Amino acid sequence: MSDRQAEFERVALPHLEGLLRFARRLAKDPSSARDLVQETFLQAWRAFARLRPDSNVRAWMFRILINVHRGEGRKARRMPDVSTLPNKWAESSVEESVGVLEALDRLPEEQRTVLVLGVVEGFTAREMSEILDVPAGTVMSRLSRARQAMRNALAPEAEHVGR
Amino acid sequence: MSEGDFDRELRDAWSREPVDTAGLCVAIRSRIVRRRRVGWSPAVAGVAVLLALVGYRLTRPPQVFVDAARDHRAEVVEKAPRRWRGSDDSAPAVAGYSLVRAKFCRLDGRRVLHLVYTDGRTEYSLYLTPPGATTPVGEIRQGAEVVEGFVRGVAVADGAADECRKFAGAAAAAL
Repeated sequence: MSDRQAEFERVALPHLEGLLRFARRLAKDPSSARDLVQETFLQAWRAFARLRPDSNVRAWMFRILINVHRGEGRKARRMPDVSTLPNKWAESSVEESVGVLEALDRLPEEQRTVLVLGVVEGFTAREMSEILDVPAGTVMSRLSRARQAMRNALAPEAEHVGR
Repeated sequence: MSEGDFDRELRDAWSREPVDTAGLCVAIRSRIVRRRRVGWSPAVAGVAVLLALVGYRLTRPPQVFVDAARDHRAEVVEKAPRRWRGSDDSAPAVAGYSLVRAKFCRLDGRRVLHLVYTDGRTEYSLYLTPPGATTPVGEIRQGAEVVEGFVRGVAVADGAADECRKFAGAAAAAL
């Protein structure tokens, strides 16, 4: 293993779990999620020599993953716009009681993405803006809508649990 | 549910979901290694070929020397049938050697005068370039032939380098 590869693994591999969890919320199935993460690491490796030493590696990796995911979406142009569709893993009907992750999977992708990046991964609005390549104001409004949608989705569940 | 409670619940649910990265880590390493091999092999091969070409050009003998050695071997040592003349007006009088025969031939695409001298024991070839043209300076051994280049011409002998040098020196002095 070269010194460069060792350095890449040192800074990139600690984010593997977070990236895989995130990919599972974006991809249509677990196998696609793993492929997405693999491609993310491969592209990161290709670009690693150009990465500035003071860069936020975690945000950089998430941005690459988002771009790979968008690229795959562009390849499948004949399919419906995945950015507005709920995650295909969430097959249960709306009437069923849902858990938090199921409710998350039912959100449109753009809301699901900001919720994960902001609430779970703890990125700031500015970091999310750079990762998603959208204005920070857009990020915040998506986050607000996502929270509201989640509350709406989880409210019956809360009532059900409390009975 | 407050925003803080909601965030906490989401994070808890998120972290409880099992995720296995072991196999994925191996797959990523494998793809990176493959990528490195694929990425570097053509570059390394390209550099190697370039170095080989440069090395070959730097170390290969001048073509005129190679052709002279081949010509001397065929026409003087192996006596391939050629139309020789007994003498030539341009032939220098080389001290200690006598002219045996002469003809024109081509070395490295250039027309040269091929003169054959003898010291009584060995026959030597002297290839003279036209006035104004030059040949590389240096010595090589090409098979059994020794080739001496000295600006105005090329001397070739089949055998010892010392004898060829001596003949080349005498020829150069006579020009």
